[in-house]
Amino acid sequence: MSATAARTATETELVATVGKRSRRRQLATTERFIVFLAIPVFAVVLFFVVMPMLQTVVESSGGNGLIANYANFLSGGSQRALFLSVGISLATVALCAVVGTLLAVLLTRFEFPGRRALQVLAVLPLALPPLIGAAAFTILYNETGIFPRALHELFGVDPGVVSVSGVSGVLLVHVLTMFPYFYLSVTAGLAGMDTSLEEAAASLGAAKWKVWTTVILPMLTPALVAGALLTFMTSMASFTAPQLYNVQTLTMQIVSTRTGGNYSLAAAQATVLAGVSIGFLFLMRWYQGRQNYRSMSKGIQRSRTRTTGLASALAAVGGVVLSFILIAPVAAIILLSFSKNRSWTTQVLPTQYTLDNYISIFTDPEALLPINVSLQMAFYATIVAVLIGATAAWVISRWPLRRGKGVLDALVMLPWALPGTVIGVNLVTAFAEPTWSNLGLVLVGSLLILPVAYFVRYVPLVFRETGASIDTLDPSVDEAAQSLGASPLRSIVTVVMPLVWKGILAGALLAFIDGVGEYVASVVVYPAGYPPMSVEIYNRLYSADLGSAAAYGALQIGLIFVVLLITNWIEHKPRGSDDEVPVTQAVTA
Amino acid sequence: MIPIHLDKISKTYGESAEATPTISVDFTAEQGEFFTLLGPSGCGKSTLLRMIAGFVAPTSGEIRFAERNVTKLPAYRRGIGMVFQNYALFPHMSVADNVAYGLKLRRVGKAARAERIDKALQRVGLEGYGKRRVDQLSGGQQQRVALARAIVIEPQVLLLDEPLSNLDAKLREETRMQIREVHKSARTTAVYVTHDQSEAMAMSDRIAVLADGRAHQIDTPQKVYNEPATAFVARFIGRSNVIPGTVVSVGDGTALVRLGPGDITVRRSADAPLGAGDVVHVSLRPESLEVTSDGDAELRGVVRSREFLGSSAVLEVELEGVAQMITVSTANVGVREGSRIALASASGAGWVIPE
Repeated sequence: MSATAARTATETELVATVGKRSRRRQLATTERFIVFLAIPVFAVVLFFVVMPMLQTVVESSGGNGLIANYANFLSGGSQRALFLSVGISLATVALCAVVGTLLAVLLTRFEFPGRRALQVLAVLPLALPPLIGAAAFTILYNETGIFPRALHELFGVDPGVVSVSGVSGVLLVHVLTMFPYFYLSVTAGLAGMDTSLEEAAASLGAAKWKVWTTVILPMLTPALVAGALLTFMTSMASFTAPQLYNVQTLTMQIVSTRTGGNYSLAAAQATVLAGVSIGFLFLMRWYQGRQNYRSMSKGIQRSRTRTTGLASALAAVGGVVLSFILIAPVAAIILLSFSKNRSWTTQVLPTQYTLDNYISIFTDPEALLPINVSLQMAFYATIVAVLIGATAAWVISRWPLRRGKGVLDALVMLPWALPGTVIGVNLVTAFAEPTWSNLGLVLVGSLLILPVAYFVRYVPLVFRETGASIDTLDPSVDEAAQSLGASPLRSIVTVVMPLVWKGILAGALLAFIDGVGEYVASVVVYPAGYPPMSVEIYNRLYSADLGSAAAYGALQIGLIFVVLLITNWIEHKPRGSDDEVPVTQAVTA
Repeated sequence: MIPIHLDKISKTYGESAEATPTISVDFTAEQGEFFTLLGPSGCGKSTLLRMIAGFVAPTSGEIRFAERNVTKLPAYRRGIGMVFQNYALFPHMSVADNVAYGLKLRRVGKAARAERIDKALQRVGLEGYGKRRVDQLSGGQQQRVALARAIVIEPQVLLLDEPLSNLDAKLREETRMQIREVHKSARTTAVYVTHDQSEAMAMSDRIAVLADGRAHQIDTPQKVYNEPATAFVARFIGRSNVIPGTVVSVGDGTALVRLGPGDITVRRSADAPLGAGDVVHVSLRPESLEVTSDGDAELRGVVRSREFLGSSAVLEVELEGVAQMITVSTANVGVREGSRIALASASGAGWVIPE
């Protein structure tokens, strides 16, 4: 490049910079109000999510040094753990894709007795707290579990052959708890598909299988990819199933390395896991941002094929078996909660029943403590999550600037991608002792670390639920209120709040029950002497106190049931078409 | 009733130095006027309205309601009434509560409030609808509630953002008459945004035709139609043939312009300087041309297509000497495709548009 050209280029740049400075954007008052609201959201998310994550990254360079830690990671058990986690996750995706897709096709395309019940039960796994779900599966499918024993009793099958343990156990839990991700996205994909496409293909001479392979499956690709990404992320973050089946996945490694005192290596492991998860978050956002296939015509949705005769009977029997499998975990927990401790040894089902378990957890102060801890801490977390999550949703829906919206959105959704284990490690790393970065705030050893952890984990939930209900608003209602003389704040109180409170409440209730059942981060952060309910459940399972562990579990299930009833009631949907799929957005791991 | 001044208002998007103003205008809506911002989508007309409302801040310039500078005033302190494209009714309130909203904020007493609500609903032809839920109303009725809600506070300034665009054609005509009547009786200055030129022509006292971020012309509907300031205005308002030509001579209020082989006499603006030899455009409305057998007619051409509409026919004519098709609307429905015709423009039917 010649000297003159270089100078011209510099001058142009100079002019550009000056122009940029002088052209500061003018904002109307209402727009400034939105930008102003973004400040606390930014501050809280930076302080409780981003800063702790960075602290973990910094920590990963401690001890023997950055290079030594990651070299250690790549050579030792951590590498095996990473490969095991990825392998299990890939297998989980494959199995869930088959189960979820088949179920979605069965339920949207075929009519058979018991279909509606199965439709409701299909999303039940999403509502179960992860620890309770996983624990129920060990009770049902272990070598000493109910199913293998029942098969042994009935048909003389060797329990060792039909039971699961280790990796197969983890996979079973994963499939039975994560297939709904595929089920829901494929159901939505099928519902949006126009029958005339299939008819067009058929009219051009395509046989039925050809229609499926050339039209339907390609059009379902976005739904399948979305389901796969979500399942993979959830599976990578899974901690309870590996813990119960003692499989050394990366999440397990993080906790055991930390318990072993090697904080730097644990931080390195957490950093790697967080990197994978955040990578998947961006992959998902990128994929969803692309143009999806959509039917362009407004055709009619295909009606269900009514099965008859033998097919109908088969479908009904299959439906009953599936329903049974889906109900079994809940039923097992409730059954066990009434069983007398140590009375259940070699029988298929417990033989002696009692109310003692419930009486003890409500009367014994030591047993009552975990309930108190969980309910209170989840409650505080929910309040803050609602304040920050709802404000963030509002700010993003009304963001007046060209830039910044994507960053803010990604920041608030970031903790959704972070595995609970990583969130736990981040918090105990960042708030262990007073430093300049945590502004002197120490949370380790304090009960307050629990609500902070719950807040971080579930603020995306409130954010999403509120955002969804804001999206249904006519975008100019708040402007209409302001044109009539209401200040921005007043327009929110008198017009926006009455229209979105249901969404906020739904998000808050979900955040609350998820907080009450939270285990993965709790187990890393809880202060000694104050176990939350899920940790207590694990401790009691470990000490073979199945009855009272199940009673805590039943309590949580009852709470979830009440919350679902309330959510249903406030949404007050007119009994809609039978294509409605009940969706519970419990983010579990 | 107050005038609304937009004093050298501009709005710039984008942050690079070479960004040009997206909109730049300067005009006044006189007091009591029904003033329309007309333009194709993306011309910035809605942004302009939202600046008057206070939802968007201009990059530079000043907005004044009468003598009051409102540029920095938030929307809720401007004392405006606004009607939105998608109605923006509050779905959790009844019709009466929607209309009452602004009155409550102004602390109007209960009795007075009820009276004013009734009067406002009556004005828009919805008496007795107060207790209805908003979602029980048709689109046209909802838009009338929105209108009642905006006028019940007796705003000095009434802003309407494409209020008819979600209604079907028949309802649109009904509702636009109603809006016009309500405006008259409400004694307010109205700024109306639309992309529909026939709507603008039917309703407005004056129209600002906006495109490429600037006002091409601000005038009465008649002037905008008969004396378009730019080729864009001529083409956007109604149908017009815009033909390039050269000025031969300039007369008093007229000009002789050479279009290919023939010279025709057209009207001209007294304001625009024009001299012989200037390159100009001539706007010829299809209905101002007559098919004639007169051998002295200025324009000749061959009919390339003919569309029969009952009382008239629309011809596409390929002019001789000018490489351009023009549209002619004629009562002489007997003209056939392929025939060679002569066209006479009634003296002064055309309009000259300086470059």
